[in-house]
Amino acid sequence: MKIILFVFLALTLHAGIKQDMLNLYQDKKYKEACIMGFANFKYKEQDEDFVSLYAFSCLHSDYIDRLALPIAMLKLSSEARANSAYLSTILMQKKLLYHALIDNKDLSLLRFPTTDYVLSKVFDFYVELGIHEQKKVYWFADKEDEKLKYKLYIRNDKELKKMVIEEFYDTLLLKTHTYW
Amino acid sequence: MLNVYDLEKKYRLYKLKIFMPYIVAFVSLCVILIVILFVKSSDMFKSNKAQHNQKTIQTQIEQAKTTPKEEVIKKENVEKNETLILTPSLNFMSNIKDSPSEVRFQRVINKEQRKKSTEQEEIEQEEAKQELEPVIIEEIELDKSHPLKIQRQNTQDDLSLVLERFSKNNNPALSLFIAKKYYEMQNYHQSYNYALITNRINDNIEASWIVFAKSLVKLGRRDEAIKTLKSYFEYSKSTQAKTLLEEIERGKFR
Repeated sequence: MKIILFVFLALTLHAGIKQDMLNLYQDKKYKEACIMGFANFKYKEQDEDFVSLYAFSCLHSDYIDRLALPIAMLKLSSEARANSAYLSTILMQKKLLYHALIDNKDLSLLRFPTTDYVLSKVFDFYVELGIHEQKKVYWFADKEDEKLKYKLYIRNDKELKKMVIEEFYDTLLLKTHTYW
Repeated sequence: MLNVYDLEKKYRLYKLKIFMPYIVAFVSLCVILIVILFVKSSDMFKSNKAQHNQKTIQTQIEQAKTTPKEEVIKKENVEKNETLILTPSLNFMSNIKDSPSEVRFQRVINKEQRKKSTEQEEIEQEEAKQELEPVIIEEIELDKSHPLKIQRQNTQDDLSLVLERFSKNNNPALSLFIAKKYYEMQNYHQSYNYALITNRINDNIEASWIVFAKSLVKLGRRDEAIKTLKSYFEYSKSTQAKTLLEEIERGKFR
């Protein structure tokens, strides 16, 4: 009887976690949702809705490396496969851009699918530059809205170099994304 | 005299009854075996089909290899011009919303709401009864030695709260408020920025265009302000924009 009660309690708690994560996501508290998902991932890794929600929470909070597991797990439904492809593109673009900026790797010959995510946009701009002399700071203007600009540079932190993308609207800094 | 015929008939029935479970077991085994064989054969058929598909793909690849190089180059060019755009699918959120735990939770809420509403109704009914009774109003003298003081919060605190709210919901009314506040604080650069954001969210807010133009003038970008106001006036026929435009042109507003 005690075991049944324990199982029932555990099940209801885990059902609540998904809803709590969704509430956090809808309140744009992506980082909190990502952390909650990370803590409960091992209990819910077979639930594709949970894995998708966790992946998008981490994507919006710039924890791109955490997408690796969801990319591998999302495969059962058509929607999951689409999300897996979308996330894997972003993850690969991040890794390639980081490699190119730090080690001066040429990406001009690459042909990649693109996404609506800011990192993909910046990646496309960078690839379009072709073979070029390495700069400290790159400025890219959005093709649809000229006032929307992206600043790309490498920041030297204590132990490792970090790739920074800053979104500007005219002169106003909208958002900073840091990847490493 | 013994009826041998009847006895033999009874004996046969008895024997049949004894063997009946074995017969049933045998027949069911046969059925199961047939089903298994049928399923296996369908799998075999599928795998054969897959093999056949593979073979056709292989032949297609071989054919592609043998086709002239020009065609291949053309195909590559077409592929290079088109970029695949991947989009996320967020239908899983509706799945989470429709999950049974959520429904159960909503039911509990509904029950609580019903309880609350019935309690509220009872309270309201009691209040209504009390209202019917005559009320005696006592005159209270105001304590003039301690006048009521309303303390206003610091503008910077107000702004930080509104900024936080704006970052959450992107409401143009909030960004306009921020632009106006910055303009009042003579931080024209920020007032310009927030007026710009407001115009970007909703380009039909007159006050935002006015703050935008005023900030431009204050930043020393008079010509841009005139140009902006002119185009806005042509679009909206706003009298406020027209008067501000005239003031800027005459040099009344600096």
